[in-house]
Amino acid sequence: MARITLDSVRKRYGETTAVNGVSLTVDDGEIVGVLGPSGCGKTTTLRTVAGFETPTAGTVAFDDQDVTNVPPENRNVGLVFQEYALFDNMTVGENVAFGLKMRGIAKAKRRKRATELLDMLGIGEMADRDPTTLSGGQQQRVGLARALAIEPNVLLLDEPMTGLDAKLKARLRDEVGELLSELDVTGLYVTHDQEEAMLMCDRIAVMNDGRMEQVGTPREVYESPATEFVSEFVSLDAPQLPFVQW
Amino acid sequence: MATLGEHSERAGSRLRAAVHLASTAVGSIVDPVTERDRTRRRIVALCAPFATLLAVAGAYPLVEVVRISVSAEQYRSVGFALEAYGTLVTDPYYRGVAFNSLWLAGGTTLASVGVAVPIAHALEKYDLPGEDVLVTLVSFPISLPGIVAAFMILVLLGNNGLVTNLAALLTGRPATDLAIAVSAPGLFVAFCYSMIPRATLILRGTYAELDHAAEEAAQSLGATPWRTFRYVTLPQIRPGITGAVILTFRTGLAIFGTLIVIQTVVVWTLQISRELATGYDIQVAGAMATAYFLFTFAFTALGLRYTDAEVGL
Repeated sequence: MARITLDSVRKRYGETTAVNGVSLTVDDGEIVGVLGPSGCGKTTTLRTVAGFETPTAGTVAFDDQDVTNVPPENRNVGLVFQEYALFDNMTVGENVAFGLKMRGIAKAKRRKRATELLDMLGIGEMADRDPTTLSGGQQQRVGLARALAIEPNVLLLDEPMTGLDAKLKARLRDEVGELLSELDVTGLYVTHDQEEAMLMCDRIAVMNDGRMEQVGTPREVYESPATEFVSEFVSLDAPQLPFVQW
Repeated sequence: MATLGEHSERAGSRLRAAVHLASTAVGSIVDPVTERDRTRRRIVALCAPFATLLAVAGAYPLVEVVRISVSAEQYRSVGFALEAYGTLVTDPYYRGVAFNSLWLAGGTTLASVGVAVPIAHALEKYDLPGEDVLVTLVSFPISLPGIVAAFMILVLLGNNGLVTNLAALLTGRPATDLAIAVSAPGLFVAFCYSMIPRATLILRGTYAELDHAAEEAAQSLGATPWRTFRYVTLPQIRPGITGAVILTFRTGLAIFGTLIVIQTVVVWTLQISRELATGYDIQVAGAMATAYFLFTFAFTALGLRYTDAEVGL
């Protein structure tokens, strides 16, 4: 795993500034939640780290290597999407093994690794299934297994729980949270759900209007909001938040 | 063993049941009671104009053409003879015409779809500057008559054509040696000119439904753009490619206007025209039209049976 460093990253689309001078460091093995309302620039930030957007200004580095202009296929980034983005023309096992296939790993080794990961996520028996026949939660596990199979430098999760029902979301949140801690993954977790961010992430970066309003531990963000926006945004659902883990 | 009387009684009762069913259906359309009846009536109303057109301008002429093709006499549909079909099968000239049609339509289909895939890919996947103008440029040949397309090929690739003269200037060879407008390659280009927009139209529709996130997932997993296309994009656009192949191949077989100007290769449509206009062999023309219809219908039906392509019959 690697440390992610964003240094004064700015991204403009014509007259619109999506990300405005964002600087952030995610330490090796740390999960940072990028939290903010829709359209605040969190997905653009994640896509910049993944390599799908080249910043208008600023740099992105993994450890000490500048990857600002490195294409996505050469960044070794695991990406988990809100809409799963599974390959419908492949089985669940083939989905998980796809990244290894792109790296020229032998078939037997690919299959073994895919089986291990699917077992780890509790869906080992589904390796030969068509992914479209799985439930939302199962599909998201496949997406996670596929991202982890390549042993990525960084894991990027783009609202992975959105669209799941509340019960499943709670269960998956606990399981995925435990798994990410166990694997010591460096990750960016984009979400607009503060409960999710506070429970799953080591630190939280609150974004608004393309800017980073505050970066800190969940407790810091909640107890000492740096700006009025953070105060309002974080306190909105506060009564429902289970802070017991602090 | 059932007796003859029992058989006819059963047939009669089946007929009565069918008549009753039909009259009930007509009754529910004329005087609908339930919402289902009203939906049926709306469907009938929506489809009635086309059904009338199909019967009057489609089915009736087709039946007439088939009758002409098996007529024992010229100019009158009488008797039954398969002589015209025999001519098509045994005469090497007609076999050659069929072969010309197939290779020209097949070759131009492959070339057109091959060009249309990257065009649709670029138009649908990327924000291109002046995209509206590009879409107009790509799609406007659909509205051009084939004869105009042929004329444009003459202007470009004929003896005085722009491309011909440019090539002559660069190579130092006479323009007349380089002109290809009135040749098989010229015809090939003219066909492609008409077919590429049709293929692009179908493929753009398919590309619009593409799962871009899956492509990005593949790229993040280490797939190069080409391998992403091969493993993720291509399986998704395959129905569109099949649809484009069916549509453009049928177009390739049907093109006629272009052949009026560039008569280098004698194909099926051109030969039908010659049979009617100069050969006066109306039975052979009828047999050619019938064979054309049957072939195109069977080709499309087979294409659709083995794919979930997006082109109807």
